Amino acid sequence: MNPASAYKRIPGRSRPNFGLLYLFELLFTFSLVALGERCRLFAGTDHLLVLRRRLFTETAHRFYYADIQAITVRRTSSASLASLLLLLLSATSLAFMLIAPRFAPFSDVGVYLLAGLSAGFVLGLALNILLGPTCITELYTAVHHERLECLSRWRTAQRALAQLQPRILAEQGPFDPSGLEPFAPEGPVLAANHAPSGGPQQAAAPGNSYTGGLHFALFLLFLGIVVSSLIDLLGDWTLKNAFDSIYYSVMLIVACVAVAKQRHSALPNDVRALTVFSLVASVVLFEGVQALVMSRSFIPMMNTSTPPDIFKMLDVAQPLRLTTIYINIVLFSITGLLGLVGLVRFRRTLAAVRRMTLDQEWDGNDPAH
Amino acid sequence: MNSAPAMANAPARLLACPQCQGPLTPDMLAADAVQRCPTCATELRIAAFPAALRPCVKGGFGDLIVEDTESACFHHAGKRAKSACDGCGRFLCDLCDIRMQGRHYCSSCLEHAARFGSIPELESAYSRFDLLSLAVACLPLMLALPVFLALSFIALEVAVGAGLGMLLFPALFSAPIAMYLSIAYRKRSTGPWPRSKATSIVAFIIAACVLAILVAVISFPIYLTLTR
Repeated sequence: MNPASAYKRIPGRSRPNFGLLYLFELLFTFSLVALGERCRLFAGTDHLLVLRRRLFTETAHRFYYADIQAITVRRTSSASLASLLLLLLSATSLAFMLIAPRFAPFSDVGVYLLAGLSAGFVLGLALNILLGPTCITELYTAVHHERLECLSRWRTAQRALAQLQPRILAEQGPFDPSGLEPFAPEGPVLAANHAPSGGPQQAAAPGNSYTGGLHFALFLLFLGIVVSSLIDLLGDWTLKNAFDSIYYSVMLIVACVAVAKQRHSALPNDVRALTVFSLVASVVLFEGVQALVMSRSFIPMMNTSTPPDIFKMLDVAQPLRLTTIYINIVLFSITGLLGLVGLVRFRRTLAAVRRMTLDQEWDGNDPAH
Repeated sequence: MNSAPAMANAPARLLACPQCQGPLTPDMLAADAVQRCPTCATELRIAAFPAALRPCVKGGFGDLIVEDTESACFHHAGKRAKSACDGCGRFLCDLCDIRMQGRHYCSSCLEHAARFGSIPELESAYSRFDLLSLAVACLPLMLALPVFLALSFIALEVAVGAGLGMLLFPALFSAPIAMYLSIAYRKRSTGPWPRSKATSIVAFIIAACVLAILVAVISFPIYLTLTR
C-alpha cells in the first residue's frame, strides 16, 4: 500500500484557508513563512500525525491512538475581540477619510489609501465572522500535552474531533466514565444547567476570591473618558488637557493592576478579555495617535520661526485630534458598557450561587433532615 | 509541546477545567457534548478515552545474574540479558531494552536511527525543496512589486522601468536556481503523507516565465540593432 494513501487529511490548518490569502502566500512565501509555524493534521491507520512547518522544514509528531488520553476543546473570545477591533479600525479609518479633507489639504492618493485600508479591515471582519468563534484545542497523552494550533476555530475543531474520536475509540474500546468517580471533587459542584443563567456558577473561585472590584472601577473610568471626549468636541482647553493626561495615566495604572489581578480569578472570560483588549488598544491606538499628532505638529515647527506659522502648522493636527476623540468615544463606550454589563451579571450570579450554597448548608444542619 | 510531570494523574486532570482548573463532574465527561464549566462558564468539550484510566506501566530495572551460565547485558555486566538489539545484536537487560513497533533496540541504535532516518517511524524532519524553489522563483517579484508600487505614485514610466529592473536583474540568478531545485528535488521524499507536486510545477512555471521575459528584454534590442 502506498504510505501516502494511509493518511487522511483532518480539517483545520493554522492559517486561514482563503483564496486570496493563499495566492498571496504563494507569491510571498518568504515574507509569510517568517510569521510563524504552520500546523496540519493527518489521521494515519494507528496514529495521528501533527505536521508543523517552519520556513522550509517540516516536523512531524506522531500520537498513537492507543496513547491519547483526552482531547479538550475550549471556546475563547478571540474572534469576538478581533471583530470588535476590526470594526473599530474600519470605522476609524472611514471617519478619518471623511473628516480629514475638511481641515487640511489631502491628496487623492491619501483618500484612496484610506479607502483601501477601510476595505481591507471590512474584508478581514467579514472573513473573521465567516470563520466563526475561536477555541483552544489540546491533546493529552500520559507524558505530555500538545496544543493543536490548527484547530483554533470552534466549528473546525468539532469536525476534526468527529473524525478522530471513532478512530481512537476503535483502538482503545469504549470509555467508561464510572472509573472517574473515585477522582471526583468533594463538595457541591453546581451543574451549568442548574445554576442561574450566564456567568460563573460556583460559589468559591479556585484559589482567588477576587470578585472584580478593580475592574468595576476601570470600566467606570472608561465611561469617564467618553464624557471627557464629548467635552473635547466642544473646544480645546489647556487645563483640561493636563487633567486628561493625569486621568489617562491613572486609568492605565488601574488597567495594568486589573490585568494582574484577574489571573487565576473566577472572572468571566469576556470581562478578562475586554480588560486586556482595552489596555492594549488604549496604549496602541491612543498613544499612537497622540504620537502622530505630536510628530505632525512639531516636525514642521523646527523649520518655522514665527508664532503665526507654528499655529498654522498646528491646524494640521486638528483632524488627528478629532480622530483621537472619535476613537475614545467608540472604544471606551463599547468596552466600558460591555465590561460593566458582564461584571454586573457575574456578581449577580455569584450572589445567587452563594445564597444557594448557604441554603444547602442550612438544610444539611437542619435537625429535621 | 509541553512536558508535564503532573500528567501521571490523568483522571484528576480530566476532572479539572482546562481554562480555570475548577472542578468538573464525571457526568460532564460522560455526556461527551459541549458543556459549560461550572466555575468559569467557559464552553468546553472534553473527549476522554480509556487510556486516561489505564495505570502507568513501569519499566523494568533488570534482574541480577544468579548463575554464571546466564548471559549478561552489554551495558550492565551484573544484569541478566532479556533480549538482543535488532539493530546491533547486543544483549540487553530490561533497563536497556527499548521496544518499538514490536522490535527491540538499544539506546545507541535508536539515536543513530533517529539521526540517519533508518527507522521510518523515527524520521520526523523533512526539507521542503518545492517551497524553497517557489520562494526563489518569487524573489524577483517580491523585490519588484514594492518598488513599482512606491514609484507609481510619482510617475508610471519610472515605476515600470525601476520595477522591471528590479525584476530582471535578480531573475538572472534566481530563475535558473529555482528551475534546478524544482527539477532536481522533484523525487525527494517529503514525508509519507499525501503531497501534491503543484508547488514545484508552479515554481517552475514562474521561473520559466521570468526567464522568458528576461531573454526577451535582452534579445529585443539586439534584434532591433541587427535588423537595422
